[in-house]
Amino acid sequence: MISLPKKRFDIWYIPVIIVIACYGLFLLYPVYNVIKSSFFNESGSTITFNSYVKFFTVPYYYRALLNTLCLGFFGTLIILLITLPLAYFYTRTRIFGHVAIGTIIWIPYLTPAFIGAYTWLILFGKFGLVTKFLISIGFENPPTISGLGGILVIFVLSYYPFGFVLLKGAFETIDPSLEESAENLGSSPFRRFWTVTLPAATPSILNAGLMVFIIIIDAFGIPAIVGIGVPVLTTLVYGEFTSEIGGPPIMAATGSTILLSISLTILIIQRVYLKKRSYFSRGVARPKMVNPKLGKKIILTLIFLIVLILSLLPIITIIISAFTKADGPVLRYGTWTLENFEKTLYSVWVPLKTSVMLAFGSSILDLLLGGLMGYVIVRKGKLLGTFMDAFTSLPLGIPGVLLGIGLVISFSSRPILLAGTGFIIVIAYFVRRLPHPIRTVSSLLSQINPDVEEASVNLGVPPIKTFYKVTTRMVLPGIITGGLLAWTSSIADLTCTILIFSAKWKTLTIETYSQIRGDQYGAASVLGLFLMITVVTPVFILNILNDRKKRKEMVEE
Amino acid sequence: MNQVQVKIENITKKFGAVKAVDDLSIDIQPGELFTLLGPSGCGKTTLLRTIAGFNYQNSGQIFFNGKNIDRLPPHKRDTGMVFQTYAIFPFLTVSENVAYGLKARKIRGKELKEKVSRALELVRMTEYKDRRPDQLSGGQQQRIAVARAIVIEPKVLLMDEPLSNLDAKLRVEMRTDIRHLQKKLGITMIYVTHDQEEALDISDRIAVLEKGKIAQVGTPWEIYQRPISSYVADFIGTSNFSLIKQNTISKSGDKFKVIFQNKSIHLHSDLLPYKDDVIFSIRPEALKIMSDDEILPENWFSFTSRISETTYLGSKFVYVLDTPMGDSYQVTVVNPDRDDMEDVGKMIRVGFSLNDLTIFPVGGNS
Ligand SMILES: Nc1ncnc2c1ncn2[C@@H]1O[C@H](COP(=O)(O)OP(=O)(O)O)[C@@H](O)[C@H]1O
Ligand SMILES: [Mg+2]
Repeated sequence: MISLPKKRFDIWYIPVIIVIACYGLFLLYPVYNVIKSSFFNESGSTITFNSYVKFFTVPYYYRALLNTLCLGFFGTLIILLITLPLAYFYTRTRIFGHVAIGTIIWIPYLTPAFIGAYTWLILFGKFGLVTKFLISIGFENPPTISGLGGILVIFVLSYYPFGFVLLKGAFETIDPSLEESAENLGSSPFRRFWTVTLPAATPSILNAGLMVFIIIIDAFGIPAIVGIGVPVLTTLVYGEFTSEIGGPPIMAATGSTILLSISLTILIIQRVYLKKRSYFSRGVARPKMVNPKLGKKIILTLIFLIVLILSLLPIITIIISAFTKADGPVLRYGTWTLENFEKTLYSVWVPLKTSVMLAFGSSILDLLLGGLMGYVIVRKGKLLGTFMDAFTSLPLGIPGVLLGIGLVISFSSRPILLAGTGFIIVIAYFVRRLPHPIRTVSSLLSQINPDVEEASVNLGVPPIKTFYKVTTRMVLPGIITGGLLAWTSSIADLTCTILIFSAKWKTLTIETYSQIRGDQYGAASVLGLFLMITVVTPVFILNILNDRKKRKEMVEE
Repeated sequence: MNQVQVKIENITKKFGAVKAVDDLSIDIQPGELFTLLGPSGCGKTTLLRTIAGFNYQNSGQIFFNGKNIDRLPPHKRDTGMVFQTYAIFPFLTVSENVAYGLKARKIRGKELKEKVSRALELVRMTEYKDRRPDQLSGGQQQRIAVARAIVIEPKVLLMDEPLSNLDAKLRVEMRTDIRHLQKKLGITMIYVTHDQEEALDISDRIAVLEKGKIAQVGTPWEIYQRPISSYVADFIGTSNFSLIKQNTISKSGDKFKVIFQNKSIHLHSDLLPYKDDVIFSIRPEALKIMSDDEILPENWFSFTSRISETTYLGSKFVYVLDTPMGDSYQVTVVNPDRDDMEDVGKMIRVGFSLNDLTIFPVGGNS
């Protein structure tokens, strides 16, 4: 905005250069190494396509790809079909407990996905509570959650809140005058939905679909825990990588390169689509909420209640299980005990401390650099802004398993020997989650008139000081939200961590995951409970602080 | 009082190929309330932002009291800007907003308090001093913006359409307030508006801008009564124009004879210094309806036209006439009587004093 006579070196290039350097070294270079090794033979001397030929001809490999695509496609489809009416009714009609429902529905999304999967396993698995109940009332072959169908169900249960929130945003931001004019022209509500609302929301719906798709194909925990015998790309890559110690991980590299090409394609489609969103009003006007007839209202509330119960079930299950006597994978419900805690507590503290340290370090880096990048993207000219916006969103299209493999093979030898350190985990989290604060800050800042910052400069406060006195202050909510998102998703990360952790740096997710795989459900439940507490605590603290502030302001008035 | 003279010398500011400000020069006197007036997009904001230092000119210089300020970054120029959007800090209270610039000037304690409360008094906002900006109306926010700018006692006050977001009644009130305040404080002020009525009401002098250039500088009276181009005449209020071809002008003695509305009109030669086609311009309120037998006063001119349209606006009555030369003229009758109103299609006689006739060359002043 402010251009000075002789262009000196702009201090804003410093964070830009730092981010570009970090991405270059810790994102692009590892990705490059993975892609490269997928095109070389065992000894690394000649370029071949052998690994790809092998991948597409041996059923063991291409089945994983088919499973991934199949799960991604149907998972996305089902989630959209379920959340579309939910989000529409949520934004257009008043139901009982409107606000509470909107808050609680988030819980499964805050829950680390593999914990969710684990609780569904507790309920519906071979020794599951529900399974046993069904057998006891005479079912011979009760439904279980094994196989492709089972994973699909868990994916839907784990990620529908994500779809819901995205679609809710879509329906909330449609220009109300569009719907009102249709109403004026005598269109029935049903017709209005099909001819006006749905077409106007279509870009956002597609966008939501693409994001859900990327999350599903990128997920490791869910298929690893419930999908025994159903390989997908992420589990295949992990398996190949951990069993190929010694030689170069060619098949793992090949599998993750294929996964990368899928998610990058999606990211590109999505970015092209995001550009074309034109039906949306800028914030202020909200769609009209109707108060439905009592009968309809009760039915809608009941539907949302069912959704809520499904959302709360994992957390309730894991709390109960943590206090239930366990023999390996068999939980003896009804026998309340503190035994699990007694046995596990000593092994909780170290991974808990590790997780908190790593996630804290990376989230701080994320919110600092994310805040600066958000500013650069919005305020530092169109050219630099557009470039940095696209460049910094790259991690969204790079699968966690691929980055994990890439970091290991890139930094296992001198000169930069980082594999096995905590530093590399912090770096991985930092790079992967940086897009979160960048998004939240830049979208907030783009709604703030630059006049306010110029007013500060005009009153005699130099630009840099204005940045931290005024700009930072105004985008603080965005910085906090973005940092929090980085925190929750880093703490909960399994996909990438499982490839780069070392014995000295075992996170809570790793510890929990290995207890689940080791059929120690008692310990797993305790660890899982702690994991959820660490994820959710900052969110709750923030909510409480916000509430206090609101109440204080109300008192002041 | 240390009043500042602002000299703008041959400033050009380009955005890509667009010259937003084009080789523009103005001298603004100490303590003057100077207005930049022009339609949207003519470069007013760009010029103001260049003075504040938010844009840097491609060429030209700016002086405050003879001192070149081009090298000063915006935070050292000591200008007080009131933004069109007010740009109030949303996270500070009213008095914290006003104190912001003082704190940057290292003013603390009792002095700070006194200055803030004085400024709040001046804009009559004392009772709101602990409020948050989002609890204030547009007019109140505007006052805060003014208080925040004047409290630092800047060298120059810069106001960019500060009233354009207010409703009509408040706008009139506020502009009177702003003028009183400026005269009381004696701070040189550059005021930007696209509203000609506001400009005429508030200013000591006005510069009418056209596409980044100055069309005319003058007092409100000069701008309104003696526009030097049809652009200015048209932009400031409505006006009636007639094109006079060069070949209808002839010299007769020390006067010029011009055929105007199919009649001869004799003009003093210094009224008609141009050798080209010219435009005659007469304000609607300068035209007077006359009865056919009324005797024409000295130095007046009259002609008869057909009424093509009538509009009643309460306080005034507007005729649109089809003149003998084929131009469309507006005539306003202020505070009309019932008898004053004539019907469409009738012929009426209108006259005007030659003092109210403005003449300028076709295509502006060059
Ligand atoms: N930052 C900018 N980038 C490009 N063009 C600009 C910029 N600011 C103003 N302009 C252009 O300069 C011209 C003058 O704009 P402005 O000074 O805002 O006019 P005004 O304030 O009189 O409405 C316009 O054509 C406008 O489009
Ligand atoms: Mg402007």
